Amino acid sequence: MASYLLRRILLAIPLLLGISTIVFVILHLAPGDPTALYINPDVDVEIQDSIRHNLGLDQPLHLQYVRWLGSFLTGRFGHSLTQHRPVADILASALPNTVVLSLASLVIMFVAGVAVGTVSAIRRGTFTDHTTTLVSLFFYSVPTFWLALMLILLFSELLPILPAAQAVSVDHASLSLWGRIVDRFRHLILPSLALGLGGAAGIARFARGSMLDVLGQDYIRTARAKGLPERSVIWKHALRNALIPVITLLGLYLPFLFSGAVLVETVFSWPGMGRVIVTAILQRDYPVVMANTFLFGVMVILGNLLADVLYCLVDPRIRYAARRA
Amino acid sequence: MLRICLICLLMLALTPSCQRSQDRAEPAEEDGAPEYGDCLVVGTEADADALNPLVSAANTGSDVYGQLFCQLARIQPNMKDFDPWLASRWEFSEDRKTLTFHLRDDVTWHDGVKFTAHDVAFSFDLYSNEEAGYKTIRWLEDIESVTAVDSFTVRFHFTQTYPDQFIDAWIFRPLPKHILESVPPAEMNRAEFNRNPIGNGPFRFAKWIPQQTIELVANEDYFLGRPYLDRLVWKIIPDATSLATQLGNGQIDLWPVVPAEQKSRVRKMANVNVHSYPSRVYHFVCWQIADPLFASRNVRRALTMAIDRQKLIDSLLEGMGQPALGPLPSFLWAHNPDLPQIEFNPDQARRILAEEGWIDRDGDGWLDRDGRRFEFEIITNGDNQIRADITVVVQDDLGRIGVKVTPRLIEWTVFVERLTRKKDFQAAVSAWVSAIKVDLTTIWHSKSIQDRYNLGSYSNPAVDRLIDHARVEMDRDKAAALWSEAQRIIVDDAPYAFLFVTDEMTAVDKRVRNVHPTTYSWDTYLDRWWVPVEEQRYSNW
Repeated sequence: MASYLLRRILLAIPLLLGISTIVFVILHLAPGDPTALYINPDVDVEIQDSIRHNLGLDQPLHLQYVRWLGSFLTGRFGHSLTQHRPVADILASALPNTVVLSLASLVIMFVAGVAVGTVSAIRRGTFTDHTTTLVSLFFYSVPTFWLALMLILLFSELLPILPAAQAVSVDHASLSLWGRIVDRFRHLILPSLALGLGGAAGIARFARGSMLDVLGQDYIRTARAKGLPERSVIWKHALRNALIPVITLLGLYLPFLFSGAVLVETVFSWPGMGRVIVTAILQRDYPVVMANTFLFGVMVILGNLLADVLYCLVDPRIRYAARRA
Repeated sequence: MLRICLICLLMLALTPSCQRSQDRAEPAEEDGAPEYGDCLVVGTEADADALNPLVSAANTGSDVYGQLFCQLARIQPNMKDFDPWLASRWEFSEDRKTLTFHLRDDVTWHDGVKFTAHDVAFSFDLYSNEEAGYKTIRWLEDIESVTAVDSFTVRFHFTQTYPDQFIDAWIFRPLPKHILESVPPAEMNRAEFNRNPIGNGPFRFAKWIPQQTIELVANEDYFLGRPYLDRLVWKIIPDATSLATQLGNGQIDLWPVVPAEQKSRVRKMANVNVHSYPSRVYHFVCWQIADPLFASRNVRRALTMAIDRQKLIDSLLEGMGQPALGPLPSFLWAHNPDLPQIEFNPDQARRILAEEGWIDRDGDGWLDRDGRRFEFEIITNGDNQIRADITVVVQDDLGRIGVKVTPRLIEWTVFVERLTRKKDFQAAVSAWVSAIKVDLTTIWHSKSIQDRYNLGSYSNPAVDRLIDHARVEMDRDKAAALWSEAQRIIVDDAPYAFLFVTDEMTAVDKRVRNVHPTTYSWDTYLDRWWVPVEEQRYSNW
């Protein structure tokens, strides 16, 4: 297992380098540059040119690439061109928010998805099954941003019970410790629902199918035949096996989560990486885009790795140990 | 949604759009005596870039630093006169080559250090140092030097005399010498000060959580008296729909500039007062004169004639705007009120184009000449709804006289590059924010074609001469006559189809009193805004 992990991590290095290089080239080949921020007739052309020069934007692309790579390999992500602070600071403030939002959505996706899927598999063909199928089809089909807007309309405007923007209230610092925790949690509800419900619906469909497969297996019949209570059959024998394919979905859903986060973070003014990267792309803030892409890459690769490890934990038949010839 | 977070960057700005100020000429207090307390939460679509007036290039940054840093004098809402501020009085020398400011002696920086003339002299050197990258350094080019005569007297020396000398001396906001003298000018861009500023204005910097909030607190020692509000918080909400929701349910108190598509929704909100007033923004279609298609003045006039401005105002702005009459806004002293307009007249337009040889010879519905159809592409940045809508209306209006227009929406940074540096367009829809300083050089002088902002390559030697003379004419009446003539020729030459001046809308929670947004700035008198104690919302903060 350890050597497998090591191999996977080593393989990730060229992969990340490749991703960064491609993004770098595409980004710089796209027309426009960061000095568009200074478009103003009272800004001298010379000032704009000297800003371009200071930023190194007048150098040939390959030199810019080498310079970027050099600063990158030494662990410095550089300085933001538009926010006037180190990129590392920007990431340090945005990353935790995105991780919190993604984890909350992931929990919603898997807990709600598996629960609904299992119930509708057990009650196959009943009214419950049909209803959940219909509802999950609905959530699976609606676009994330629309769902986000509807949640805001419902819970923040018609019944104003939940906040619709940002991670905390403006007077957060003046609240008690308990008040601060509740405040954070309240702010997390709508964005994580918007981000997680679509995935939950997908997983519910998948879990239902998987569960039905398992319930038709011989060993389930055996388990019932030897008189095990139904609860034990479902929980101990069926569910664990049915979960194996669902777990693999985890790795596949992570990139989907991050890209969904870009939209959800914008709608909910959630101060995470999605918003940082969108603004940075539009302003051509190259160092910020590069660092963000790199981090997204790392997170997706880690997510896939995690899925593989979990896969092996839930399925004793799968072992990654090196095989003897 | 992304459109919204960029909206403040979408205006090609003619400074000092970013220069904010409040006025002290105390307006009549409504609803009884003002009371202290409460917090004002301002909603904004984009985070600030820096809170240092030397460095900031974006709107939220200038809104915030406007409360942190004072200027030597305070511009009045009429945008013509000035009140004392950091300086208690000032006078020009007889030859007008020097301007002396007498500073107040009771002003301190927020860290308690006294504000003196040395701060002003130091700040001028910093702002005018090219390495520091001050974006409107051009405004300082006629000031030779600034010297501190004594601790509270500072003298500006000019290289020449011209009408707007005072504005050039007034424009920059002094910075604290004792903090910034240790920062090399080339490093100003990255200075800690940008994110943790020490000012001398009515509010002190408290906290900035990037992408979330910027918080200021009342400066107890403000030399004109503590502001009534305890706190100002800018809350960053990139999505306009969410912003409107937050305004409606009281989570934000103020939306400085409501975008056109949210205006009708905001107007219906029961908890909100709405202020409408003319903005300094005018929209236009620019024709690329370097393109043979638009080389003829008559053709440009005909195209302008075919666009129904009133329809644009009624349909796109719901009537909230006025026709743009020419290159200078009506609030400037040099504005020519009698500019002959090119009125909407499609039949006349068709006749003029026919005289120019543009006739539908092959019967396909489009005009042609020498076997070439009259067709062109009109570009604008697609993230701005109003501009995108304008291209469609223009396409429709010109289509009616047989001119084929293809609208093309492009991304902001690309648009800027094609519009200014490359001049790679046939026609473009854009907007300018008018400056309070009278000058047509950067946009209309032929030497500015090279300098990028004469977008349509407009060149008329008569206009060049008038501008060159008017800029240095000290007699205001004579200067006004020269500017008037230049405006008349420009409108007559039709390098732009001038479209409309939009009305700005500022929405503010009803509990906040004494709010008077003006064309110059929404935050006029912000230190005098107040909330009655019984209506205060953040009283336990």
